Amino acid sequence: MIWRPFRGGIKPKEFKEATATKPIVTVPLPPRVILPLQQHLGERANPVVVRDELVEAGQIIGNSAAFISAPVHASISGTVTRVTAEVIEIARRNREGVRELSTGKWENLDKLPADAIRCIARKAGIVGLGGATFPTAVKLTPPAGCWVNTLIINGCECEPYLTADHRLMVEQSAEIVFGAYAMAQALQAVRIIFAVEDNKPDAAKKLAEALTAAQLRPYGAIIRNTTAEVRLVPSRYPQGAEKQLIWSLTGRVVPLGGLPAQVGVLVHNVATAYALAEAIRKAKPLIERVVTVTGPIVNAPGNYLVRLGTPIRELLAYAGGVKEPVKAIILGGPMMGEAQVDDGAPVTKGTSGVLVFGEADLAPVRQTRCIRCARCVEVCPMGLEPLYLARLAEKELWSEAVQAGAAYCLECGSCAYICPAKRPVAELIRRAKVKCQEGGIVDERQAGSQSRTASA
Amino acid sequence: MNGKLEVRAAPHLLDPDSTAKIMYSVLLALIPSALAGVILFGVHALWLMLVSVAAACFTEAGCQLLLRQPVTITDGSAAITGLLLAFNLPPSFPLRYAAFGAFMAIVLGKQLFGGLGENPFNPALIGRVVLAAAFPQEMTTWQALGGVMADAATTATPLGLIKLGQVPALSELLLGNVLGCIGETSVVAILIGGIYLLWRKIIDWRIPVGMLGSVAVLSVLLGADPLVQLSTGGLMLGAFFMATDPVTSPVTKPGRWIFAIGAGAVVVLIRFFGGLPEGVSYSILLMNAVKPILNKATKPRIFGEVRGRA
Repeated sequence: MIWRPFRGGIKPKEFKEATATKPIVTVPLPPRVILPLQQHLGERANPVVVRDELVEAGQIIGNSAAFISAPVHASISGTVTRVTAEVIEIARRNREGVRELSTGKWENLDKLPADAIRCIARKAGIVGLGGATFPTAVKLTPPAGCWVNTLIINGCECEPYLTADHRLMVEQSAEIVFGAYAMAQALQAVRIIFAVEDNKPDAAKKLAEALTAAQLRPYGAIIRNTTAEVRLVPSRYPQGAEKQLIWSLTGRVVPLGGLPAQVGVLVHNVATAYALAEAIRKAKPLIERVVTVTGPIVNAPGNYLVRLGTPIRELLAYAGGVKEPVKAIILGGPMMGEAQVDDGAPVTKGTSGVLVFGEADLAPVRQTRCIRCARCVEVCPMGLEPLYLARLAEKELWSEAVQAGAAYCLECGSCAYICPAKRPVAELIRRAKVKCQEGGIVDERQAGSQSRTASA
Repeated sequence: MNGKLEVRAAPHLLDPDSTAKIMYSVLLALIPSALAGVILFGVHALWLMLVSVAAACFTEAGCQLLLRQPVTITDGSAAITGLLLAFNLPPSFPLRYAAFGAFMAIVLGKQLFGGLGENPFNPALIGRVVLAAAFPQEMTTWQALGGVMADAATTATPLGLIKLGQVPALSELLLGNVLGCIGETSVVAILIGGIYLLWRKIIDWRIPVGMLGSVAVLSVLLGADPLVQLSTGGLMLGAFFMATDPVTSPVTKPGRWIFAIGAGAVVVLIRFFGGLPEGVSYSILLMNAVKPILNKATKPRIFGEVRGRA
């Protein structure tokens, strides 16, 4: 098996055993949902419903005309109780049904041209469910002059604690395979690689079986026109990072500041492929997702299929509540997830996990001085020197930080993880990145590569 | 929900290792050499270590109090400096001079530059060089005041003997049954500590391998016995415990190779062509000075960066 080790990386403890074998459980409809109108990268959707309006689950309640955007659907049927520019809240009425997409149900991909697949992805509100939340329809539209011949379906799930993708691969491998073929159809790709970390051999086996089974299904010519394979990759964080995964599997290097499409590759998450399959075959909009609820103090850690907009509080209560007082709630994985101020935030399209920590899991961090041990340099998957970037950020030398490469930071957090001085290296670099984006400071290398792309 | 939630920046998972753990591991790794020093050279060696460590810690705390900074002597770094300095002293060295050396190591070698992490040179070596300049007589008097070596027939170090044309037995060199500085003579004791640090991944193997390798290769080329060259003087101590100081060695792997090989080359230059019998301290200090250039010259390539095409 060909696999190229990506530069750097770490091997944190996985903590996946609490939920890896727990089948996905459907959470009952919540009494109330909070649906942010910005659950994706790009333009925020505008509300298209008014207060007190009756809405049906699956109905579009927020939309935008912008290319890089995604509609937001009502995730439960009920009454709109609040509408602002940012968020819509719905109180449930007892109706179970879900309004189907107007795009019909399709089994044979021959009948769906690329544009039709992109249209379904857009109408269903599908975005990258691995956490990046970039609108899938846009991603399936490669820039002019780029032919994406290789589609990578990312089932690495390299973040510790998370098992939502793992369970999805085990339980819904046929759907994932169908979604992957649909993506390949939209891209005219000739090769599909399913990438699974070797800590999930059961998922890889299920996907391989589903691939074999798909050959006999009436999915259309795309089955014959593409080669598809499942590849195990070593479990090493951040193996699931786009550029690192592309390098590991294909040996292609995405140029700095460039897009994967420039090297003929596109990476989509397994959950995104699943959502697309649901939209095409069952005309189902994206109104729910699988979330891993876990942490040392959760009574019933598991993988839950939950309607978008469900407050964390409800989800946590459904997961049996907690054993001790909650000290921190993190949405996403422990490496890149965001700590919450309270438990009122809703599950959104990008929420792959809810991590709950108690007092004992949050040891006080004593920050000491940098001793130049260079462990951060060793683990940085981008080949940056985090200790220097962090130092520049501390001195607020934003422009210097960008010239030193801060803009290329993946924010994977490996540097801060490994730092023996417990310095917030990743956070400092992130700050430099944000400051530079705000101030429009561009790195010379990137300026160069952009002009090259433009002239190409 | 009762109580406020704690909002920290990602990542929320941290490696269990800490700076203090690293420092205490280094101290642990120095214990075999300390024991060997006491066995070989007697109780005075122990006193030298204690005085030097105490003076280093006391000076560090004093500087930090004076500068109104948090006192960080519990992190173990000042103790390492003190112990390493003692390891670099002859067994009969006066205690008060050792205290002075530790004081200078911390003030001149460390605090003047801003404390831990900021010093360009290895503080213990700065202390040693200061003492060599201030007390040349005492720093080159080789006489054990007790221990196994008390009734040694000679008063010269192996490297001194080599300059006189006499080569000591290798087995004696490995055990440290020769005259020399307290912590540098026993190769076996240093290797025990060094291998522990390599196993704990606290020091980069490239530095001892590069430094010892370049000394071995160059000695062969110059017609000397490489094993004798490796096991004499302060080379082993320097290669495992001084050149590997993270603060004063390069951050990149290629940089560390050049740093280590360069240090080894300078050792050979001094030993074979210099006026001094030994040059490990100066070789490491010289490469410390080159470190910033090495860091710049060996900057890692950013993943996806196309060089020379922009």
